[in-house]
Amino acid sequence: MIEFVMIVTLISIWSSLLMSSITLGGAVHFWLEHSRKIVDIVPLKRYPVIMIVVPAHNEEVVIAQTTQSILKLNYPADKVELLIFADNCNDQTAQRARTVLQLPKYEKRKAKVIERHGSGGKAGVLNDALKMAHGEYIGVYDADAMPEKNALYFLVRKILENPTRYVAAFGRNKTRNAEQNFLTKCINQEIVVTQRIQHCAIWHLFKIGRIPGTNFIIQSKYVRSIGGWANGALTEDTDISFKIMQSGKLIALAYNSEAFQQEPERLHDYYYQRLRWAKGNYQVVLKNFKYLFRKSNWRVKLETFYYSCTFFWFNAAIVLSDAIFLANVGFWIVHLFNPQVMIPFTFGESNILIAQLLLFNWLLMIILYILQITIAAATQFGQATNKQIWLALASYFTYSQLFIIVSIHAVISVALDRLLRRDGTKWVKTKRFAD
Amino acid sequence: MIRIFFWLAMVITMIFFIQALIFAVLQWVIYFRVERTTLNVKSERKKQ
Repeated sequence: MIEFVMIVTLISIWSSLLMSSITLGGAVHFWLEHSRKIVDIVPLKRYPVIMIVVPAHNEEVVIAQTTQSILKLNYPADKVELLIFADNCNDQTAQRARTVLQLPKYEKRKAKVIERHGSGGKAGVLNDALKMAHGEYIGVYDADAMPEKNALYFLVRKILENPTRYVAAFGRNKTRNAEQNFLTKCINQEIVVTQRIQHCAIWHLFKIGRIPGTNFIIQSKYVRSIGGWANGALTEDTDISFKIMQSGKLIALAYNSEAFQQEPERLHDYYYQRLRWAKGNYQVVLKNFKYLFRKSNWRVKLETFYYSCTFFWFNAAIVLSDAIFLANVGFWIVHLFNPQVMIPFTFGESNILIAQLLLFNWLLMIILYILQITIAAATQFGQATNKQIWLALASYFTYSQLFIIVSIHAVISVALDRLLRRDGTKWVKTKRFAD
Repeated sequence: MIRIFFWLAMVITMIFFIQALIFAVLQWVIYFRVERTTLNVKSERKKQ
């Protein structure tokens, strides 16, 4: 029985490695094609009107910088309308944004601050903006996400490649405060891997895109046709991504579009941010799980399968394998003092070779993890350094393990929300820092 | 069952090991291409 449990756990981990390998292979193929490309800024055939929405809840620390970055975008000023929503703020967010808009150089810009007192969180703000939108596209930037000068240009350029099929385009988000401490360095590495490996791979292989919540544009008419964003959703971006795929449309990756955002600098803020994301993603997966077995778009099935495996099956396997490891270590320590106590999870003394093979597999997992990070770093000039490798090794045994706790907490929380009919949509605000 | 599992584990391990070697080589290819492309662009901009 014990051997069976160990074999099932190992096969689960191999399956997880297989999925990672497919993703990494897709990303490598993408970057082998794109690593020689020089991207020029050439005039677009046309410049659609974009309404940029900035949902801001108590963002006085960062809102001024973000506002200025948006107003400096390399895009015709008469084709950009900016709406900053100070959503249920009890700080100086609205005032600081207005101070920027009142500068002489921005006087003639189509930009305003709206002080909102309503419900629905970020999704509520986006739905309110949708009612006011007369631009062809709505663009979204979080209050802490400073777009690079050409961010919007690249999003529009991508979407114009196939405006009928591509109803949305998304870029990447870099960490502004990456060097602040060990936590932000790990978060930065994780984000670089997610965006340079995962996002590029799934777009390249399957034309699947995931709206990241910031630095994206979406067709206004399309959003109206699907009824807008899900009010109160913890992860409104994942929810709308599934709806877009379900309708057969695509979310295109504009890999050159960049924005700079702040990441949590304290463990407490990080934990509750990730808990919200995990809960939101579990809710979306549970909502879409039925489509695995019914007639639906194959991309939705693939994404639901991927999320289900990652958040349920592989997490369970990692928790089980960690439990087996800790049990073996505990019993081994006891065995040193009392040789009669046997280590529980083994294949027996005659199977030393299997134990050594399994140890080698464990090393291979770490190597694959580091390879993802070094390949992601290699795609950016000057980023592939030895420091990244040491950081990757340190984060594998520390930062990465946090996700196990987060996902267990999220599963329990989602289950309790349903059983006790609690409001699971409350979220803890991430603290911002002046930089 | 353990013997079957041992041979399965051996094959899977070898596949992952060879794959890791291939990825390591391709990583260097990507690295050199990105560095060379970026440095060429920078030197051309300096000349202009």
